[in-house]
Amino acid sequence: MDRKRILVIDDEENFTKLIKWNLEKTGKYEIRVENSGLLGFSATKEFKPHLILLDISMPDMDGSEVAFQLKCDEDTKDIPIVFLTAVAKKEEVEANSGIIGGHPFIAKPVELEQLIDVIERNVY
Amino acid sequence: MAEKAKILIIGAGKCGRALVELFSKIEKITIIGVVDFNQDAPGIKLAKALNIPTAVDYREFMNRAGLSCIFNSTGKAQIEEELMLSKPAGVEVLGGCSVNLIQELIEEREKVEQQLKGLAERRDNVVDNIGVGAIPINPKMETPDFNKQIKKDEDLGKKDKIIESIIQNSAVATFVINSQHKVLYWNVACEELTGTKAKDLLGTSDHWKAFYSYQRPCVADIVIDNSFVDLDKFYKVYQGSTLIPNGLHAEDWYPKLGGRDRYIVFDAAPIYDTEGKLIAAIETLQDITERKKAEDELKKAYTRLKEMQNQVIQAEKLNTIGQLASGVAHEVRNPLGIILQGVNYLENKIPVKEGDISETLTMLKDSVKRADKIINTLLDFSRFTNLDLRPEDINSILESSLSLVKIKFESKNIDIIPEIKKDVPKVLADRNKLEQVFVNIFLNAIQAMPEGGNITIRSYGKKLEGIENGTSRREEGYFMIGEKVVVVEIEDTGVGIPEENLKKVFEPFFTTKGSTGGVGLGLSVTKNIIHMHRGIIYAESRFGQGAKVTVILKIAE
Repeated sequence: MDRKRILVIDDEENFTKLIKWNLEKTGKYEIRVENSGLLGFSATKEFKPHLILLDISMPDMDGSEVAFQLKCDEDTKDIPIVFLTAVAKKEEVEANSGIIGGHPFIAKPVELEQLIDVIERNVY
Repeated sequence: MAEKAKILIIGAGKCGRALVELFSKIEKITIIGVVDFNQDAPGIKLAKALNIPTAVDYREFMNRAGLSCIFNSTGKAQIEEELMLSKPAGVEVLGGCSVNLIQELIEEREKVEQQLKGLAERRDNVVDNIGVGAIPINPKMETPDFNKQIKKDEDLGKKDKIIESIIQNSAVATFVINSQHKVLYWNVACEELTGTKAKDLLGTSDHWKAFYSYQRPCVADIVIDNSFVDLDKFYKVYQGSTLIPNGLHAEDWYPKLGGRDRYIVFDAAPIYDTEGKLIAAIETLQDITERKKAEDELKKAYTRLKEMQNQVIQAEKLNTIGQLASGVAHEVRNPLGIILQGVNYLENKIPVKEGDISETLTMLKDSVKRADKIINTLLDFSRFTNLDLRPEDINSILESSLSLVKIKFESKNIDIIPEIKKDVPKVLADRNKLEQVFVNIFLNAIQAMPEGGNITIRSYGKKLEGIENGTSRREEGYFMIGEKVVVVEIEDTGVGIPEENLKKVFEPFFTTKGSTGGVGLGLSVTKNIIHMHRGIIYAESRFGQGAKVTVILKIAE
């Protein structure tokens, strides 16, 4: 079975390292990690992921801006994005059916199981 | 008698002297002699001063021609007898009673003269000091003293005019009343201010009509009567005048003065004569409506400003807390995310679920979840800038809150007793937030009743009579006495809250639930939400007999 490519854009290194280990362990995914929002766009163009896990609050360029960039480009506009956030509350996420701004939303800290669930539901 | 009557006075004591004095003033009588064996007698001295002949023995004068009358003022009967025997023919002898009578008459006349003198003096004083109000004694009265007054009255008329001028030409509304409360002066400025003409008031006691619709004292009246009790009774703002000794000062609003709503300042002062007797009172009125209105507006504006300032400060604080909270949330949640992913990783690394390691990892996961909850509540606590206030039906909010916790109620054997009023007025509220509030209160109630019990829910509208039950000063500012509000009461039959904790329960991190329970942020968040609604929440309880939480909210206008 072909592994799905997932691009993880998040400034927290340890987090992305663990995510990569955990997701790749399942055997289902090939993970690329980008720790800077500025590099997110170009990484997407290169990697051509089936889904992007995108952190919202990053110091250099936040996730919504990256999402906007991606939306503006023909090649990238249809790639599903799942936002990660440390600031929203779980109830809010649930109240909004886990969707904000048209994109699914996950609140950190998130359990691996839950993460995989969302990925499976949205991956291209 | 064609010619003057010639008399002889025997005895120059007090009585004799009085006779000398009397007769010497009467033109038609000549005293030909005054006799007394005591040449130092008062009558002798006077006679000598008046160039009237004196002697020791009366026989010296007995045969004078023209002698018509002999006065025996010695009081001695013996002399009287002698005189009767030795008097010349045709000469009358008056003694004893007659002399006494004359004496009395003289004394009377002296008294009367004194009185007249006194009256004249008083009149002079009154006229000199104010030149008004006193009714002058007819200057043409025929007694020698008053003839002098005719000239004085001309001066009096001038003084009167000057005083009248002074009062009339003052731009300050002034009126004067006398000690009988009759209006003496009512100047043009006063007519202008009150809309009442002087001609309608002079000489009357109707000055109250210019100000009031019923008869009551003006400050000048109070000054005349010295009735300070009235000052307190009729005036709200008053004091002794700081400028004038014994003067009074009062102020008030007059809705219809001269056709307009005016704020008047009254100053009244007493007027005394030279003997210190109170004879009149002068009252001035000043219309300071514009100034007073400006003052009141200023006070109101200041109060509003302070209020707004406080609100801004509060909002600022909350804003800062809000920012702080999201910062903290972010900073803490990232490490938590890492921990959780790490735990997941370790879980998958263990080939078989080994007891200890498994348990450890589970504990780690639980801790992460707990920390996450705290962050949640912290965010709750601080996220207040976006209250979505709308008119809402409180009963409907209560219902939806109930439905959220329904399962818990059923599982814990708890009965709901609704005592809600159907036609409760709508409240201005953020529905979601209020649901949180009630859910929180319900959850606390459930926790207080581990063996089951009842929860009574009441809702009704009422007029606020007073703020009680440990509400803070800030809360008191939200409502006014008499304001219509909506009240919600949630009462349980649980273990209750000890008295010392009744206020503390609303403080952050206060909890009695130990490590298995909540972190103690629920009720403080609840209280903050209520405050953001500008409402009040408080708890009452008797330990061991349940607790009641009361929420008071503003009505949506």
